[in-house]
Amino acid sequence: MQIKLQKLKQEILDKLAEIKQPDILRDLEVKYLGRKGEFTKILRCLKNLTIQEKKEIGQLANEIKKELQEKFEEVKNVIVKNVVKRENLDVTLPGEKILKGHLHPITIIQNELEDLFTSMGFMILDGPELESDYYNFEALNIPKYHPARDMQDTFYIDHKNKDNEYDLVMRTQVTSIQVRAVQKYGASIRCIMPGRVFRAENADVCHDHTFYQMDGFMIGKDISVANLIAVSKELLKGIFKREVEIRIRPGYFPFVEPGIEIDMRCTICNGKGCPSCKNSGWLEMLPGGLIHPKVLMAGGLDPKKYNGLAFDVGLTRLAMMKYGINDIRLFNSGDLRFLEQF
Amino acid sequence: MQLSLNWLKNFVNIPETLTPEELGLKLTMHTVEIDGIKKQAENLDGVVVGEILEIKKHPNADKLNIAQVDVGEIKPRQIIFGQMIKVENGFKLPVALAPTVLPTSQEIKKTKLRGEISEGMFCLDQELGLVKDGISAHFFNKSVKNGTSIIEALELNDVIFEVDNKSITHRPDLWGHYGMAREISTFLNVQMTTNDKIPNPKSQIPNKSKIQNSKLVVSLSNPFKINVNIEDYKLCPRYMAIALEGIKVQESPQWMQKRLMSVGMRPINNIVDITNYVMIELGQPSHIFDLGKIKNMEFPISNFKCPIKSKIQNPKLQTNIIIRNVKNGEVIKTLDGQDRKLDENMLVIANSENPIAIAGVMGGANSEVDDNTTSILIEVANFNSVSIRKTAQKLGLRSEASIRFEKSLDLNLCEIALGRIIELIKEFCPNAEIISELQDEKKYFLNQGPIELDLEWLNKRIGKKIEEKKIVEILENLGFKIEKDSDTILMVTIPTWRATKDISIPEDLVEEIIRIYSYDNLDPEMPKITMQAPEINNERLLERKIKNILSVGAKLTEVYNYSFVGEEQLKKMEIDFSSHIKLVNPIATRQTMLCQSLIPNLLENIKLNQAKYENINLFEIGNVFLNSFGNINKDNKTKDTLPKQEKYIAIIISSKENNLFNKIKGIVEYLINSLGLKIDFEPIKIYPEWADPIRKKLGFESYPFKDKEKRLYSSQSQWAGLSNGADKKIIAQINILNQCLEVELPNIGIVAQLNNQVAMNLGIKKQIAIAEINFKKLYDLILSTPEKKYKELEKYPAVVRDLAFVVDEEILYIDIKNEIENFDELIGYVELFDVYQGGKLGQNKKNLAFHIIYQADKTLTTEEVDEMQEKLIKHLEDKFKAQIRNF
Repeated sequence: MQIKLQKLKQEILDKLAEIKQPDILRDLEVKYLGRKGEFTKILRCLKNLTIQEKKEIGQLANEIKKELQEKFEEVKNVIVKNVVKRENLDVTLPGEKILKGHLHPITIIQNELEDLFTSMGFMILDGPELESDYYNFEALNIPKYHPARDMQDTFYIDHKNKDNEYDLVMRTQVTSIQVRAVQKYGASIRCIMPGRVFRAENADVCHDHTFYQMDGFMIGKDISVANLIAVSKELLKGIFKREVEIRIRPGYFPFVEPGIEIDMRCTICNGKGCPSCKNSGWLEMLPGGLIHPKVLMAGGLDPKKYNGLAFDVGLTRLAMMKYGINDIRLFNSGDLRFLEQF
Repeated sequence: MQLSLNWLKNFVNIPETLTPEELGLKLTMHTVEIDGIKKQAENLDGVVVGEILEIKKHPNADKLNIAQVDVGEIKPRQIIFGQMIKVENGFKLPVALAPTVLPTSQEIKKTKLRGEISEGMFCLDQELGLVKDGISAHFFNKSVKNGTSIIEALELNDVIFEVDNKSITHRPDLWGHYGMAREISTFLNVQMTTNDKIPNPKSQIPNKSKIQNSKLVVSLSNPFKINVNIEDYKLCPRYMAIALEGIKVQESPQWMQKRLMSVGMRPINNIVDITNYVMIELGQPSHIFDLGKIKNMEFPISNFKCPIKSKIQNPKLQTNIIIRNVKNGEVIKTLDGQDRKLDENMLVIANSENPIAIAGVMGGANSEVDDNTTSILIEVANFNSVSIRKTAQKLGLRSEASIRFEKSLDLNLCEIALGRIIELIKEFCPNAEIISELQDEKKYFLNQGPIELDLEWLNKRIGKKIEEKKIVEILENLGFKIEKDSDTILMVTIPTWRATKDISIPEDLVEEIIRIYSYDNLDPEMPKITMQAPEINNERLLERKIKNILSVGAKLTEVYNYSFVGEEQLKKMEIDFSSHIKLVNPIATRQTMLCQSLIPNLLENIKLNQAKYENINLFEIGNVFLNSFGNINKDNKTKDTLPKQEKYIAIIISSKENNLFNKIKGIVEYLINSLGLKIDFEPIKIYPEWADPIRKKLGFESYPFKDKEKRLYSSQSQWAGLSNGADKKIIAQINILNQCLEVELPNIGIVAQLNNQVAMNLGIKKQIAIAEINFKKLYDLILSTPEKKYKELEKYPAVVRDLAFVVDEEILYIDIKNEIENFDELIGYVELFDVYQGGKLGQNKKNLAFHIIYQADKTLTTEEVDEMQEKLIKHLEDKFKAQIRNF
């Protein structure tokens, strides 16, 4: 038994001396010292021996096993070192590829703005994309046959009402949610309304019949034009993450009175004039105004008690500015070469 | 609309020190948006008057000629030209000298054309940017020196402002130079020029006696009689008419032609030009009829061409002008030569017999002024804005006149315009004489207020205290009349030109004051509001969460597709589109209807990208539009609701692999599990046409949505189809298990593989798997799911036993799994780890292998587990005829 053990020990040591690769070493370790290894097999035979023999041989076996384990460890260390030294590893090789998903650029911008506005206490509201003429136009102080309807080419739904008129539209503006919101929440409201809007116009690099807007408004007591300017300025600061220079001029929108356009010093040319700002040095950023009394009344509020401010941000326009996208049609193109960039 | 600086200067003293750019900016900041400023002389430095000395044919080109041209240089220049306009030796015309760039950005270079050198170009008006459309050219007479700059020769010293028409939609008073001058004088705070021809725009008090007492008026003793009859004053609140004779139709004087061209109008003849000129100047459209063509006689006329003067002695000579609605099916040929079919809601100007003009929109060819016209009837009127707009829209005929009338013009402008027209006619046709009394039929009321303006309220609205003196000055400058009511109240009377629609409430005055005062003079001030956390929009939060799970987690790419689909596309998918909601005015045949599913357009995405990408994995969250009533109210008055609009989550994956159905189920499982819910798939009985297997193969015939009666607002479900067992392998509905109650809830969507026929129809070359999940249903499930709670770790070890057995292929995994899990409470859960079909098993059999996990509130003994396993096996043998396989 002792001889058998010694022989096995020598056999293992001989093999260990020749080993150069770590995986063979591992195999060897399993073969001899593993649970079903040869050394273990011999030890299992111990149960057939006398107590004295068990004691002696057991002690020897344990010593040999310990010695071998140390030897294995020693060889392993040498081999590992050698391997690292020898193998000419190109560390510049790429890592294992993990696929990446992509959010749509409008989603990214919209998330950013939603977070900004939520932090300022605005809630986020939705409304139907297929909207009634009433909420899209009439309730917003744009009666039928009002010339202001020219400002927005409208997709009408092929369904006539009792008066033989088309009274369903694809919403031309997310402002359509405004009167719905006031009807639901009353005077204590501060909200934004992001969403998809539609205009029946032919597409080119600057126009598409489907694009994305975000309107916001708040109602309170004695809201002033100065308030509107302050809020707008804060918004632009939040969006562009720096102080921005603005100018304010009159703008006509039937659902506000007074109505304004807020322009921002062109981010591309810094006001010197470039194609992006049509050489004016200013970019149209935020149309807005104080909510028209008729709109408040449509929402069920007394305009003598309450008034409010409203503004609109073009999400598509912002995305184009932020990423330097020069063709608006890409947003709804489904082209992966575009989508994978975000 | 275009504004001429020179024209504006006729009315207002614009300081010479103010540059056109500065004026444009001020207009933008106070009144209207200026889209562009064009100096007529700009980019014309390189164009001079040249005289053609000699013309010969180009030796190598049939359609080209070679001219030697004296352009005032030592040597003549050689210029090659085509035959746009006929020219001869001795003609003097504008020549662009190479190298130069024209206003149209056209670059003129010294070039060789078919072997011959060309050193310049003859220029058409259009190429010089003088006229927009057509082909026309200027020729100069002998007295103009060769080499004279074209700027000097044509006196191109005007500056043209391009106004954004949208920004004057609400301002009827700004559709002419007259009103715009009033604005300029207000924000520059400068005087109007005195003009004896036209009343001061700020008082706008017309002098009717001036028209009647004018020296022009002769023969009134024996007048031509005009009978104006307005049938409905609501549609035509005012109609002024007067007749003149002694008219000679010819070209307008150069100054007028030039003015008209400078603002983009084409000169026609002196009479038509005058109406256009006055419209551009004052903003009031008018129309001039050939009196000879419209007059009614009480006796037959033998010769229409005989000059009216000879008949003037006849007291019976008269014309009836009736402003009425169209009678049954009347047709009129308008000035543009088109026959217009009119309907009863349209307003026309008629004589006793026929319509002679579509009121406020366009005149009729039957009464048109032409070269032979000698007597005329001038109409200056005001028509109802809505009526004009409806008519113009219906006819697709938006004229310069209708664009102005639909803004609700000042009713008092009529008489100013008429006075101006008569004056200009007299100037151009010195023999003209008025032969009728002035007709002025009118019935209207203008609400000029006064508006009660509370100064304290005003300051609150503006957010700054503006001095009363300043407020009064601004309003008075704009033509408002002010009376002080008390210390803080002003009574403000609206001028007629703002009273038609534009200004009626104090809020309107806020805008007037602040825009002139200048918005930039305000100090921004944050509103004072009660602090309050915003209400959370949970649907929006869930949508965002799902987008993150699918993009960041499941590695899909988000797409946004249009909400529209087309017939062609749906036909290929074998979808019956008769119930799809249609657009009245689609802009492309591919986009005529609203989508009822996100899948058709996602398939288009695959087609677009398939050549460039091996694997395509997309998702979209968007609305679909169904042909049934939803629950969103349509308006405030009725109980009507809008068509149902539902949000869906759609996923599409595509590759050449064959295991896509499993893969997409994996994605759906991942999504649902990530949202804290459990999921099952079940075979479905109702399935869409495009899903594998092909409908025809299974012999299905009819299809819902057939009922034409129910076209809009029928209540059909999204997933139309038929009840029969579909191939269980490739279509499944997604069920969600409520975690707490372990009760099965209704399905929330489907997963499917696209059938090959549809793929072929669509030109898709890859395997496709699709999932579509109803967002709202998912949201409702999540709402009703209790919040996640920590579950204590198991104190006792679980015992795992493997069990494999063969069953009929038709028996579903889901049924077996449920059977095992519900068999005994000792069974914690089961896990499928292998499925095998075919080979030695024989036909219609499958082998399923499960890990069965036994778990209890104590350490289970081998015996207990063995006993339970025995019972389970027995049960499965009975229930599913399972043949157990030993390991």
